[in-house]
Amino acid sequence: MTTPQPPPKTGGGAVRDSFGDLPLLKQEGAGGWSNVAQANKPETINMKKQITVTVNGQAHTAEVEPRLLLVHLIRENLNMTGTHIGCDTSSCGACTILLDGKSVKSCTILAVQANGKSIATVEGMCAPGAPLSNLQEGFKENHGLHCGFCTPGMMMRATELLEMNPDPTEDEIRWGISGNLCRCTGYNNIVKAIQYASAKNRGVEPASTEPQFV
Amino acid sequence: MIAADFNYEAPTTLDEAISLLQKYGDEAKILSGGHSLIPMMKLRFASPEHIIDINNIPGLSDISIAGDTVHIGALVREAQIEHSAQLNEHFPIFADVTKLIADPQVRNMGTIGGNLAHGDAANDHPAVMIALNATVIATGPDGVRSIPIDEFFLGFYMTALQPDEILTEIQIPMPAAGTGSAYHKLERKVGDYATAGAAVQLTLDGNGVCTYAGIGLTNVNPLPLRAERSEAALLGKTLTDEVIAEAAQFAAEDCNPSADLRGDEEYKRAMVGVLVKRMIHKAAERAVA
Repeated sequence: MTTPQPPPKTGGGAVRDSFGDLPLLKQEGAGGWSNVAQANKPETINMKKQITVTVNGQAHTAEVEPRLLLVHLIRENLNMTGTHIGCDTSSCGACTILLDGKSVKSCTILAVQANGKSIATVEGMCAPGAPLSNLQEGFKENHGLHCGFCTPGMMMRATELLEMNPDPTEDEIRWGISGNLCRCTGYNNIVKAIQYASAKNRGVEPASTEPQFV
Repeated sequence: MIAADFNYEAPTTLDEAISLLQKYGDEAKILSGGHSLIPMMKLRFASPEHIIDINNIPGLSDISIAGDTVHIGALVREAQIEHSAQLNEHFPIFADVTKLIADPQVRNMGTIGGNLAHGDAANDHPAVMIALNATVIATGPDGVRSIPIDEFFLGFYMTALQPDEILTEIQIPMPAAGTGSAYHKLERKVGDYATAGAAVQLTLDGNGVCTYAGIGLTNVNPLPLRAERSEAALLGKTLTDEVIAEAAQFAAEDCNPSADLRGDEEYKRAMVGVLVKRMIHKAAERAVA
């Protein structure tokens, strides 16, 4: 173990690449990161782990590589493709699910981290043939989706937002969905959709379903 | 994007986690919120052989006030801080900073301990901890040790934590009466690293004289920076516009920003001056409120 030496007092700061905005790999030996050649990896590496997750109320057990991402477990192992992969860098929010009730980005969580936990995905919002949930109805009534790619993530995020804050202001809704990108830029109607669901959840008549195209 | 292979361990006690760190040394990385570590692993900027997930260790997720010290467990999530009435009553700076860290989903995962232990001057908590004069508590095979925040950050991704130590708690002195705090960062969009950021905590006595000044800067120096000359410029003074302007000017001069997509050096220095000035005003307003 080498004791890290303080750096020189002057100079640049972190070098960051333009993609994903992540710091570039730093020099070897600094601060405990290591990039050991994969050829030298010990046998324990990549040993599969058995995990059990409850998705929309149903328990699933799977043998997974530790590096499997939660979004891949959901989409590829469990064949639930309502949860989308957009940026794959925890920026866009298309992969948002609820993990023990908290909205999280499933592209940046390992499946093994979800062991023993409860997951809610967009498929659980209403049973096939059952009436739409208030959020789904809000998106439908207010033209809250154009291409629809961001919609599952938006609705899962809005689910937690309305649980924590049943009657949010427009500003609170916009901050609340600041981790979700809509590439159709349909934010106004998404905000209205969430306001619609908020009103219905509270037993109030939603204000207006007239779509806004500004 | 898929990370390189690794071995995953999820200990349920601190002792077990420390034993694993002793066994694997610096080939292990600790996983807390994972929202800095996992992206780096997916991009193959980092390929640790062993991941030690500490999320199943109980007792690291509490916020409590005992005597004149606030204790924040390392696994306390940003969202927990954002919505902690107890914490924000005494430290409005926490509501300021958490709202600007990443986005709501990331804040549901990201932890204060991880934000500090990552050792990145672009993260927001380091500057706040400097302003609040925090102490970092590390637990290792020989027990617990306290590391003053000014001795914690050693370099880019380098901290005073040893490979067999885990950051387990942050301790912050309770503010004296007449204390206010504030943080802001200039960011291009939600989730961006700061173009520049400033954290300020001030204590004013009954005559409006500054008796404590803590000022930390985000992402304008290789290390999280304490603006020492700015602090000294406020101490013992009544905070007139001239005094505040001088403190802001010192911060702009003393930082070492690097030019990047967020702006050139001159721009960032100017923004440091603006932010420090505004945050001193805001902290001072809160101190007397």
